Amino acid sequence: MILLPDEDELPVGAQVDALIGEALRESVADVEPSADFQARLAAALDAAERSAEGAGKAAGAELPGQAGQGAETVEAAS
Amino acid sequence: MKVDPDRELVERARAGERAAFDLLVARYQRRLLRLVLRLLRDQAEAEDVVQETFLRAYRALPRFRGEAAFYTWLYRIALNGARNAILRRRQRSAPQGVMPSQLPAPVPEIGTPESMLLSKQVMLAIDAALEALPLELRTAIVLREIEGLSYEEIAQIMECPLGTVRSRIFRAREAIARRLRPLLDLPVDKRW
Repeated sequence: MILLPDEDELPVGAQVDALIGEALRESVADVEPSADFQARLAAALDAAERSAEGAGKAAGAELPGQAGQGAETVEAAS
Repeated sequence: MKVDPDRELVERARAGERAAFDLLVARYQRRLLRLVLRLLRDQAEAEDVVQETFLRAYRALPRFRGEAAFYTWLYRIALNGARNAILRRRQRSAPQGVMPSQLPAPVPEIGTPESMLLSKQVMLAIDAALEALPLELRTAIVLREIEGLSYEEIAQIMECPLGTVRSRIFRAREAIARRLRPLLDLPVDKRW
């Protein structure tokens, strides 16, 4: 339960601002990711990681004899 | 600018250490979800936006130069995602009414029936007022009140001047307070 303004303390405006803040925080206090969120996110990041590795290898393969150049190219482009 | 609390993890993640990025995910996933859920009011949609936020951050990490703190950068990506989700909703023209069930109900606590009823009415009034706010005002007050960010941090995230942040938060509070006046029996003729 949120606390309502107390007439004897802060100016009413400050109390109302505090009340708004408290109510907003309370409205999301129990928010948690759903059960499968972590798994979905981990899978998506795994795929992105594999894709990045694949792109790095492909870049390296395009430049025979210049190992490591692909990664440097990505860095330079950034 | 204050020291980026994530700097070490970001550097390790940029060097290719996936576990470091996973730690950043663990650090921010709930905060981002709270923020985006407060803006979208739909858990599944908010989770999609948060997932996309981390994916975008992961892919763009090699280009992250650390000019802003990592978390302000991450919040910016998330807010862009939330904004796009709202635009997509509008384009679909699907009903996007208030869905109270998507947000957790306030935890019931012991109190008089009257005070509990008033507390619930206040929560609903604030909820409705927030929903009616323009997105920029809603974002600013959520970043301030839920995330506890400073005006300077909010200005960085929202990419606007400090004075604009102050104005947005002031206007948001005013709009919410207007809805509370009848409930709290407060004077209507002045800013409290």
